[in-house]
Amino acid sequence: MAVELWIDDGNPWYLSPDIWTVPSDDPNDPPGVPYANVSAYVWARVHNRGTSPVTNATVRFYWSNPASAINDSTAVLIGLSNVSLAAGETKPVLCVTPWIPQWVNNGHECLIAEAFAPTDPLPARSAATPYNVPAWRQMAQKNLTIGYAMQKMAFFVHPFLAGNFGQREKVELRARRAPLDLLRPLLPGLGLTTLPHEAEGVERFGVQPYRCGDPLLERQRPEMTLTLPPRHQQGVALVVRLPEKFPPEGGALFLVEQIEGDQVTGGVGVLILAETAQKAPPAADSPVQTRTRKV
Amino acid sequence: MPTPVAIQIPYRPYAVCLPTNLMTPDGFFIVNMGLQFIEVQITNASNTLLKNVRVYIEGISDPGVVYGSGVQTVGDVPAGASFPVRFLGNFHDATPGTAMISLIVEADGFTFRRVLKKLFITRVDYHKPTRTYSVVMPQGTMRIVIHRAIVGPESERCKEDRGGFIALIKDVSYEWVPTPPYEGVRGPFPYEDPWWKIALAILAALLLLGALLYDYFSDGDLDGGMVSVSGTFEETDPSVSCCTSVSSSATDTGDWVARGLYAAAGAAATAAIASDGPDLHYRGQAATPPGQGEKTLSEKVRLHIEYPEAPSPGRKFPIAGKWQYTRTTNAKVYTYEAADERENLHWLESYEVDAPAVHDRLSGPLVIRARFKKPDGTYYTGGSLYVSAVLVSTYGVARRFDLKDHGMAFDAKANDGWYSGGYTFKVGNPEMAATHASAERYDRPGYWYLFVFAQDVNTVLQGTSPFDAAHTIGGFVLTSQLELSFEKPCQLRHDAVIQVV
Repeated sequence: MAVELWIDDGNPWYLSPDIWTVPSDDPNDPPGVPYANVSAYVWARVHNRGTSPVTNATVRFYWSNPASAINDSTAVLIGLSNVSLAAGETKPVLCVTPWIPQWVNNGHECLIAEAFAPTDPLPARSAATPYNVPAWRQMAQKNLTIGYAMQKMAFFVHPFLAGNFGQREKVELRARRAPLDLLRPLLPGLGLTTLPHEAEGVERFGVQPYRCGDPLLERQRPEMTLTLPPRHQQGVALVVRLPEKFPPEGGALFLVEQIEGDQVTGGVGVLILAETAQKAPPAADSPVQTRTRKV
Repeated sequence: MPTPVAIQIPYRPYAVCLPTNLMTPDGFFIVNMGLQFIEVQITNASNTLLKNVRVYIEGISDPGVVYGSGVQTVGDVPAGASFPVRFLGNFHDATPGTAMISLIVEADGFTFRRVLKKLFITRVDYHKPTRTYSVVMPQGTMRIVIHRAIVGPESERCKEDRGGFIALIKDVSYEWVPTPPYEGVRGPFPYEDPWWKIALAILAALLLLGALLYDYFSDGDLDGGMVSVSGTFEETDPSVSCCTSVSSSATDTGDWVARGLYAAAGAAATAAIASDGPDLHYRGQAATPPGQGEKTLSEKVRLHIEYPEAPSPGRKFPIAGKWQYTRTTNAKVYTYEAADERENLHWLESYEVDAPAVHDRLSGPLVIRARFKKPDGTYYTGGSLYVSAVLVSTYGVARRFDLKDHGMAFDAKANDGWYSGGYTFKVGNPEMAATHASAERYDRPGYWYLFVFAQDVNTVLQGTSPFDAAHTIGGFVLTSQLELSFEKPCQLRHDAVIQVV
């Protein structure tokens, strides 16, 4: 193929290291995690792995409510940029339109970037077509929430949306604790230099149907099957039982994935850190303080 | 390991009006104008030749600005040279205020460099019942009423079927309503510049739009409802007597040469009294400090302008003004009055244009050059000027091109003060020249009139304090082709006549 644009997936694919944010008024500032209602800039690393240059590629940047499945009707365009790439070249591309993370769905959002050109168009899709990120080389997603285990907090709850963009009547969700080492490629984009230690005592977790204010289930299960008609979404939550004292240098990474057949069609990453690891948002433009940061 | 290409963009990008190829006042992008060029001067900051330089817009923060993607290939750029790059943008749906533009510059042997600059965008609306112009900005709303103006010409050679379009303001008031009301002597700055400078830009934009759009303004919602400028003043004085002596052979069909210069005249006159030098608004604020705890609700300036001489652009004309500043707080009203006598600061000691008397279309492009002497005897160089030229045929066709001092293409040496440019006449089928469509593809032999316009650029460096920034305004025509007059016909003088064979 003459022009072959890529934005690389991560491992798992919904934790792309090729998307990152700068929580500042200056996009050249160091990367970090954004804060709700505080302006941030989104970047994407775009590769041309083809044999021909491209002078007029477009990069679109989206945010979405945290959801295990996303399509054009649920993704919100932040802005678009242009990029010129020689064959084999890689460039970071800035979304010049600032992104102001909103306090929706408890402040959790995910980011998506896609690159295309007249000589390398995107796969055809409709507004209802779920983004097939692992199959579409031009698109990547970063769906990672960083939350904090506050003092006296017994449960950490991360709500999100499960969506059924397929034809089946049921949606299967699976949660698992994953090694923190998966985040190593993402460290620069998170503004971190080292990984936390694996926190002990964070073994009880599960997913459940959830709306704000719903009671938490007594017994959490890491797997859940939802009966959900096609094109519908439902609120669910990852619920993690926290130890009495979360280790100050510790962390725990959880992945919640939506499964269709043997395919992972969507996923959400949640990193829980100690309250002491929380950084204050930039002072000048921070009308709202949040306890959750999302990249 | 390659390093980023050593280029700089010291000054802010500016808007270039499509019909005239002239820079807008202070380089402001004007929503009402819709399509305009985004032009930026880029400097090779290294001491070596940069090879195969390319530039493109990575993005613009305002999604309402639609611009062309793609890469502009500049070529090889000598050390120290400044070269302009322009992109077509549509600002019809832009939001007034500042937007950020990200430019990517590449050259062989280097990694790319990203430069972020601000675009300054304004929009003028008109409320017909109150004859009030307004612009809404994040920091507040500005309202402008032109009580008295000189309008003309309304007849004679310049488009008898339309109303007058030149407007020299004689009596104007503007009011600023800050959002929210502020404490202290001065409030926040729109565009991070003092807002009276913006008032100037808006006034100038009015004049420009009046000329370019030929007397039409938006009525507030850009939905197609328009208002004639001839009805937008409370009173008008007799017209400036214009055009009758302008060489009838040096007229482009759209009259853009003259119209662009009329707009420049109005902008220069307003700037001379209202903003250049120690400006009236700043002094008004300083002279009316509010009491402790008081909040300023509005600020108003009424300005009466006298023209001892007709304010021809590019000339050192005197101008006088009487003004009153009024500050209204939640407790009381403060006023301050003064009178000023000023001179236009935007003029040249002289300028030279080199052009051949005869040009053979088959011999290659017509090349011309010009240089511009400042009042202090030195010459402008490089990116400190925006220079454009227009060739006007005897049959109404105009051809526009730019002159540059960057040591590339037609220009022999960068930064030597000579700005050079060229135009390749279109040699097509003469039989097709009779049709309108083919007129764009064929240039007839005969006499062509050359005009070379130089405009200063806003040389404020990013990060300059707003007060200091306010005293540097660019976009004014420095060359003196248009001579206005109150008592005799105006003159529009070409710089050269070229016999094209």
